[in-house]
Amino acid sequence: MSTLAFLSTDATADSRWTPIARSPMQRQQRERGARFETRHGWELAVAFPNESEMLESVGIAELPQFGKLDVRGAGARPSATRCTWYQMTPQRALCITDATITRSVRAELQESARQVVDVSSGLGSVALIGPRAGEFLRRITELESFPASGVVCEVHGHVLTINGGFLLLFPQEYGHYLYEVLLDAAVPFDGGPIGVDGVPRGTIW
Amino acid sequence: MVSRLRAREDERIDRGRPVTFTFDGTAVRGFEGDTFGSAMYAEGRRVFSRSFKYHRPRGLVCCAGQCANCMATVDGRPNVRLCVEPIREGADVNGQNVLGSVDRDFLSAVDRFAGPFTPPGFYYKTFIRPRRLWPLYEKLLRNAAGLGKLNPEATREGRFEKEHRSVDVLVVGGGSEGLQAAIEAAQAGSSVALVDDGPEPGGALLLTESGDEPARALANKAREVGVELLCPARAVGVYEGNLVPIEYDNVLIRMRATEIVVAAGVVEQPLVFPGNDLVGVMLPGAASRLVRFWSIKPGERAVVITADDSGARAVETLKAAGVRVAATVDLRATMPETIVASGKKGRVTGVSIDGDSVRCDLVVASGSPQPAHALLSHAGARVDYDAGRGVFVPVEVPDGIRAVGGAAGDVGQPGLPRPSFGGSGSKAKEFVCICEDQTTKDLRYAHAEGYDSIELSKRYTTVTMGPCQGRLCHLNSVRLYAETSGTDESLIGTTTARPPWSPVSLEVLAGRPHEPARRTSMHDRHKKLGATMMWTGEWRRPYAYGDPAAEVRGVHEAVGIIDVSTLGKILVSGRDAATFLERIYPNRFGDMASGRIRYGVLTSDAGRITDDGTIARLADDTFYVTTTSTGAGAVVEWFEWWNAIWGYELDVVNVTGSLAAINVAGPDARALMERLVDIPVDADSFRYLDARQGHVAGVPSLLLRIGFVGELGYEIHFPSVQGEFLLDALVTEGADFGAVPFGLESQRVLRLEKAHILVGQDTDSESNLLEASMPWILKLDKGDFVGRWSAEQVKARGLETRLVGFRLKTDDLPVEGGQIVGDGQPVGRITSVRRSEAADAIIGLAWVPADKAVEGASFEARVDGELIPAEVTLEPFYDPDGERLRS
Repeated sequence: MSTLAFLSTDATADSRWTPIARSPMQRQQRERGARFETRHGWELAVAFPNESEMLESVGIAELPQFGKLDVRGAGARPSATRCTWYQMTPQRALCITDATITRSVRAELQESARQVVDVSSGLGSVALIGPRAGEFLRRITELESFPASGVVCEVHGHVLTINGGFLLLFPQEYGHYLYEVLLDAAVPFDGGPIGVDGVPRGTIW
Repeated sequence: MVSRLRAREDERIDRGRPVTFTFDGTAVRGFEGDTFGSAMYAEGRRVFSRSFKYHRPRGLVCCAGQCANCMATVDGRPNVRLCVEPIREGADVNGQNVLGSVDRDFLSAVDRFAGPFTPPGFYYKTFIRPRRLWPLYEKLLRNAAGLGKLNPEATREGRFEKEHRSVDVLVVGGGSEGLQAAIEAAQAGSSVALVDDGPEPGGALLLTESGDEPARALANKAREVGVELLCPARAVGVYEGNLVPIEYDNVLIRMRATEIVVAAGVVEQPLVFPGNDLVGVMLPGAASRLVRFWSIKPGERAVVITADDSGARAVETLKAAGVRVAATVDLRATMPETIVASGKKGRVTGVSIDGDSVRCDLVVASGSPQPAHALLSHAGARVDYDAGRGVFVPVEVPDGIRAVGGAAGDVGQPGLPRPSFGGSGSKAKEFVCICEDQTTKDLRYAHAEGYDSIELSKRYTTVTMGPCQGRLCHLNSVRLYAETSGTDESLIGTTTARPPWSPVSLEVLAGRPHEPARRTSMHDRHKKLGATMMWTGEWRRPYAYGDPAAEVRGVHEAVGIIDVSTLGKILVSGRDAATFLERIYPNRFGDMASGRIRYGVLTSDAGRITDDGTIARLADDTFYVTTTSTGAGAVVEWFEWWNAIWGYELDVVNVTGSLAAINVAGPDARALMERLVDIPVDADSFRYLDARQGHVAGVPSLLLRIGFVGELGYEIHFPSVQGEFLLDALVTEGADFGAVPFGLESQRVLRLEKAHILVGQDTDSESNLLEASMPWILKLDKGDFVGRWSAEQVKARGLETRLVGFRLKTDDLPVEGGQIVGDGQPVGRITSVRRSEAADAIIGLAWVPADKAVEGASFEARVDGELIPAEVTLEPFYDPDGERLRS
């Protein structure tokens, strides 16, 4: 195993063990009627009741399965298309990847960066999607030009832009809290949760 | 008496939509578009409240939400200004600060009899003897004075939000100048928002004949060019960075603007004369609003006394409403020596001007209109007194702020009224501050007592400190002080304007409550296993799953499982990582082999213990550092702060949230691990203080062979998203070993049996390594390190106190923090104490005088007031040789 292999979410299923990754929002998602499926080793909330209505205002989709790589030292950006690069400082970047390519992107980045740490498990990710996503975001953070890092709902996180909305990244240990706050903040907008499959194609990549 | 006029074309009420509410239990009918104040006035009510101190009847004065005269309790919510609060069906409106009702308030006896006992600062002079009666006096005074009452049982009602916004230009004030400024800015390509406290923009234009159309045209033009109109909304103040909080419905908008245009207009100023607070004395704007907005006849017979054109406009409006104007005084043309209003039962019945009496039921009076400069002052503008016009005008407005219109001092050339028209003949009270019931006599009294600065006077008399926040009394109090002291107003100066300029409720400021809590990825599983949760810093952790004593036995006799995900976890990697750690920790790391672990204690540069944990070397250039549960953030900052100075080539990455951690401890821990891991865990392959990587139930993990709880143990660090899965696997596979999950309480007993310290509990901000009995960790034969000099100083001066273990010879458990007593004096304290079945005693850690730090020495601890003998123990209480730990 590589020196930092224990940080990777690449759990190995075998005849005896089938590791499952779960998000801290799962209990609340079940309470709201989510349907779950297991994909890429994750138990994901793929759909919620009435989620198409949410998308007319602001839909809140948890997308925990993304890879997240903390990249230190100036290095080349990955060649893959299904990833997002957020240059936080000249010497530090965050690379968000599709779950299926995290390993290959990490390997590619390690060739030129000083250090690449897999923080997929450490950062939760939630997409805010819909025509009122911007208005909604102004209720939960004073950040205003994106991508940016700062306080979101009293928790330090990152806000990236995606098509038709925003992607919030935050310490996973606040996940249950943040999900509750986001869903509550969505009430005046008639917004609510949507599942992974409810995210319109092309929203992220 | 019904005062509603016939329907007028430009009235704001919809007569087809009646609305009914109650005031003090009596039904009041108004129309949609009315305020509570206008509806009550239309139905003949003239007394709306009782004054703060004297309980004098008070009526409408401004009809603009400026003063306190119409404040009442609406649906249990105190201090609502009825003159601007839109009516709603079924509302329950009640007078406040009364004993009885606003019409018949028994506390009005204060006005007649208590004057001699209530001069300014009376609570320092009267009601102070006998001292034992002060609680009674205080109760009486608090009941007699004040505003509405808060309901202590009230709970949060409604929903309050905060919104963060930014614009190029924010215009405060929706009068003609404000609208024009907004339109010009928007046409120049700026993003513009305009805030106005009225239900529609227009400001003073709306108070003039044929002013509605131009106001609406300007508002429409503003909308067309993209100006965002926020009304009714109130700018609370101007803060650093051009931040303007705006109360807009149930949302507090935190607006930042590149430029703020203050177009807040002017504030009409009352004249100061005896009887000026009688019901029926009002400002010209109030009379105009009653007529023009709500089609109400303000009175039958009026006297108008003003210092500018507002008088002429008021006369015009009053006459159009059928009010007979009995006399008009334009102070620009005529300056009377005295004006005295007289009344009956608190209502004005006439006014005497230089001795000429005129019968009336309405006095419309105002002095020089004061530029509304408060927001400019918040931003740092200076205000100067304009002696010719008798107003304070803003000067030296800071960059990024602009004033236009009346707020900038564009108030024409008003007449300069006398600071007081009282003369010497009248005995009637002459109010400078109607919110706080401060009269000219009170202010002169304060001045005579030596409070000759307006800032001191403000604090002593409370003038300008009432709900109007000086809108209607600041100018008059300064002018009266200038007259009293024989100086001019520019030397008196102004009081400091502070936010909030507009009243704002705490619930709006608070917004939605947020209480971020950190949970480990196994939180829900702990609850399913029956855990009682507790706070440790921001974290929620299991206290116990039932009986902590049984959990302790389980760990000693079989195997226990504890979630230690809250430990801080930091990667330190790079060419200089080992050198860096050598320099920041007091012990050595450069000589540590890969795959090995050492305990480390961090100290400040003053040598005080700040954190502790383990450091595992994963590779030549990579170390894995753990910290206390609440320490990770501070340790990362500490590392980065020092390396900013040292400039070593390394990276510090906080991976606390990325990794969950479980400690599996007990004599059967190895057997349990063998069922789950894909690497050898026997004693030779995986020694005490080894670090290895492997898969645990298929999950990639870092395993640390350490033992905080004193038994053979493995700490598994792995991706937190697999926390539930791995805990399930351990509990399931450990069932036939009798594996038990254990919580913090059990962990505290177990670690105390080993005399392992908890930083922050057994140490404080003064604790150093030598006195904390950890000399072995201090490597003074290596190079410089943080805290070295301080450690050398402690060594040189000798130890004064020591942290030692103790056994207590009693069955009573002392409290943590309890005293250690020597020669009858407190000489130390207990930091941790628990009952230990394994040690068959009450055991603990305590700071004692250094000469007591000898095996078997005795001291006394105070337990429930009694002194109980204790015996010092320098060895761990359990497995002192560490055989179980190393097995």
